[in-house]
Amino acid sequence: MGRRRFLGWAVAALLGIWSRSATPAEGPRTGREQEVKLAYLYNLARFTRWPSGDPPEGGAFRFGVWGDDPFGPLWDELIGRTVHGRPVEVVRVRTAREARGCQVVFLAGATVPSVGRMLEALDGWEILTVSDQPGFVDRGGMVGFIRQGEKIRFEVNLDRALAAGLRISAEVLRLAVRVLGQGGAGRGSLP
Amino acid sequence: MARFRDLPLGRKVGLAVVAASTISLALAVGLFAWREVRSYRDHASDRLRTLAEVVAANCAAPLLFDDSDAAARTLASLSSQPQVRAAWLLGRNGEVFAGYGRAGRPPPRAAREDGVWWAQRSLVVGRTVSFEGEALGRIVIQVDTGDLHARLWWGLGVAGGVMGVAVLVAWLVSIPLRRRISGPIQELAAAMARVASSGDYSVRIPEGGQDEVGTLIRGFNRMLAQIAERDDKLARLAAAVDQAVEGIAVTDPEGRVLYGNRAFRKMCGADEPLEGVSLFALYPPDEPRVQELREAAERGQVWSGRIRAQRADGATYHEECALSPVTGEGGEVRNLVVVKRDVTREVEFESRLAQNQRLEALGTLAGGVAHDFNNILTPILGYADMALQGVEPGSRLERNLKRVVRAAERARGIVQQILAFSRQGEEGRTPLRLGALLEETEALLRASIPKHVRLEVRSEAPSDWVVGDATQLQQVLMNLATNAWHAMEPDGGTLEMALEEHWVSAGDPELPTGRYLRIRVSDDGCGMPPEVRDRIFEPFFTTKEVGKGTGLGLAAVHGIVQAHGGTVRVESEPGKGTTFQVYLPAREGSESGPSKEPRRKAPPRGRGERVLVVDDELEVADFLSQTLEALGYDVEAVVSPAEARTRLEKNAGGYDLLLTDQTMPDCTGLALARWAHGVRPDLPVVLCTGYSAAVTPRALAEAGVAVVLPKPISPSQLAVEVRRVLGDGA
Repeated sequence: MGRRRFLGWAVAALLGIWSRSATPAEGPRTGREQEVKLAYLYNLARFTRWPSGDPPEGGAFRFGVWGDDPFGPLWDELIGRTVHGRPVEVVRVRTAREARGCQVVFLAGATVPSVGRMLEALDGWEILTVSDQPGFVDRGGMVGFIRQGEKIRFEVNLDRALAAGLRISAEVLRLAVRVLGQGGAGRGSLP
Repeated sequence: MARFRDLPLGRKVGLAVVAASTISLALAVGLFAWREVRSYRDHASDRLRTLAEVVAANCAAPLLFDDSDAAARTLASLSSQPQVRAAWLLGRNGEVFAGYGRAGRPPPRAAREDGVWWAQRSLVVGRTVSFEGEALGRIVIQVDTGDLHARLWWGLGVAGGVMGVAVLVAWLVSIPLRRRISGPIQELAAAMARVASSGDYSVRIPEGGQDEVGTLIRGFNRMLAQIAERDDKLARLAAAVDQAVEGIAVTDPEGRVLYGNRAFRKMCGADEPLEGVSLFALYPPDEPRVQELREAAERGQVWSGRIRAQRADGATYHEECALSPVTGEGGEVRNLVVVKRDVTREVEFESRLAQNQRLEALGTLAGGVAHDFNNILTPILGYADMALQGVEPGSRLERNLKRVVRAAERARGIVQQILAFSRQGEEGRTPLRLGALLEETEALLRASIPKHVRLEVRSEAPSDWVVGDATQLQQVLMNLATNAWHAMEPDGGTLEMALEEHWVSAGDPELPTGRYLRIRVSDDGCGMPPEVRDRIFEPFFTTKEVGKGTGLGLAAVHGIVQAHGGTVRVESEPGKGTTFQVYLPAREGSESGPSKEPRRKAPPRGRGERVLVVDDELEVADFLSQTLEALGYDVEAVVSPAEARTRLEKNAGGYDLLLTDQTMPDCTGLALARWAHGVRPDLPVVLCTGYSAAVTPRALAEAGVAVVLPKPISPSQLAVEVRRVLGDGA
């Protein structure tokens, strides 16, 4: 499965969401929502720079999922892909220690205190932390997916990212609903 | 509207100048406009590409994160570029993701690929939006090019104005140019028309500058001079040919005349132009050499020779004709050239010359024969006469001997005529007046010619002196006159004798140039055919019955006249009479110069004295009596001595003179004279003898013979001697 094909899938998925947003609909939209979130996760990794270009573990770029994995088989879509020229690997992590071997960690479905602990454990590490827990960024997470109408948007805690040595692209920051830190640059700073 | 090629040169030059300036200006304007558009486009394209690139870079994230609002905000930043009319951000499948400006319309189809295009007075740029090499969609930006069009229109307007002014200026500038170029050419054309209409090649055009027109004018002037020169040359040649003495004609290969010069036309005797007449129709049909001429013409060969030709009126003449072909480069006969000369006179003179030479040869021969024959006759007569003295009178022997003598005398008469014909010597020549001789002859002729022959004698020469032998010349006139009246027998007619002056000019083959006296003797008698005419001067040629003529008369005339340095010509045609013309060289200056010879005058005439003529030959008796009667004597003629004796016995005193022949059958003239002397001693006797060897002066004196006349007797001599014997009586 080529990269192009995946992108086609990703964009089609996004557009599908956009078009559906025109029509008010009820009910859980888990499958579709997870697809969008996974695409965002992947794109966020691409728009983010890590201070140490070459990770010590070898060539792979690791996505880690902590907690109740919401994506399941959708991860397969990332297999064979690269981020910053490094092949993608997906690992399920249970401990912070496991998580420290990843570049991106998605914190899913856990309780707020466990997430807080996990964030504390990862503090200072060059790991982009992403979650769809509400208020994630306010508790020290870096990127948090939020639902805004029909669309999935995200918030960024720029201070945390910078503290971890990560540089998130200004373009992504421009798209963020809210950006914490750095004088509130971006859209997020607007009241 | 007239076609361009028919326009006057000046107009053409003007149009060419205007067209050239218009085209060059249009090219310049076009180039300017094209450059403007190009630079605008290049410039605008660069700008547009940059713009698109910037926008595309900013649109990758909105696409990836499905944020059309953000995309719209990005596109809205294009408002800083006022010429941007519209912008579209298209998704992966070409659907509009976000728009700006007049983006309500669908984006131009041209923008499906990357690049810059013109569309609807605008430029459109399309660019793929990609992230990390992956195409996410497209950005399409359309910008207004109104400023370009405005600038173009303004530029075109200015260029149009400049062009209009430039064309006007070009037209104005072309006016003197046109005058400089077309002026001399118009002058040239006018001069050519003048030359063509008048044929005057002396026209010259003032020379212009050193340009092509100047060269043309100089060339034209030079050409005119050459034509004039050639014209002159041709005219000279044409005049020379036309006025040549020779007849010259040019014909086509079939012999039809294309040109005939003056002499040619004159020779042909044609009043009308000869063009188109066949060359071969100018000859009589019976001329055999025409066929030769025709064959030569057909084969393209040269032919020359003498040929008998025919004039338009049918008269024929002789010509010397040369026919030669004129061949072309390929050897084919293009024309025939005929050069001819009338040689009728030459032919005539040549034939006369030939005749004269023949007669001269005959004369020499006859003269030689006659001389020898005369020498033979002398002993015959001498011994016969001596024998007569010793024979018995009245015997048969005497009669026979007398016949011998008579025959010998007749033979001697013939010999003398032959000698006259072949006479070459000049003894006995004296200056004499031909007119006087003619008068004498007239007097003698009047006595002898029949009444029905009218004699007309004219003398029209102011100076009639010649050098000659009077007796011989009288014989010439008598012979010609006698022939003439014989030719008019028996019907009679007019015998005309005329003395004229005649100038022989150069070119006469017979006579040297100079003044001549011409005696014309013409009759209106029976005439002669040409074959007779050509032979009349030959000795022994006669048309008279045998015995009536010796055939020596005209031969003697010819011989005598030739010996005098003259010539005899004859014109005659059957039924139209005959004219003899005797030419004798006139003696210059004799009238004033002294002359010992008494002028000859009319023969002394008789005054009715009675003369008894005795001759046994009737013709001689007749001749003598007629001659004497014509001179005014009373004549009795008898044909025998016996009759004479009878007459004298009867009337011895009735006669004043006895004229007797010596040789007669019964009795010699001397015997008769002796007898008469006995009867009447004072009767003067004239003895005519052909041979006087036997007649001694003593015997003559005894017989009372006053004078001896040698035969043949010329009438004038007779007249003079008779008169002298009878006493001048003046």
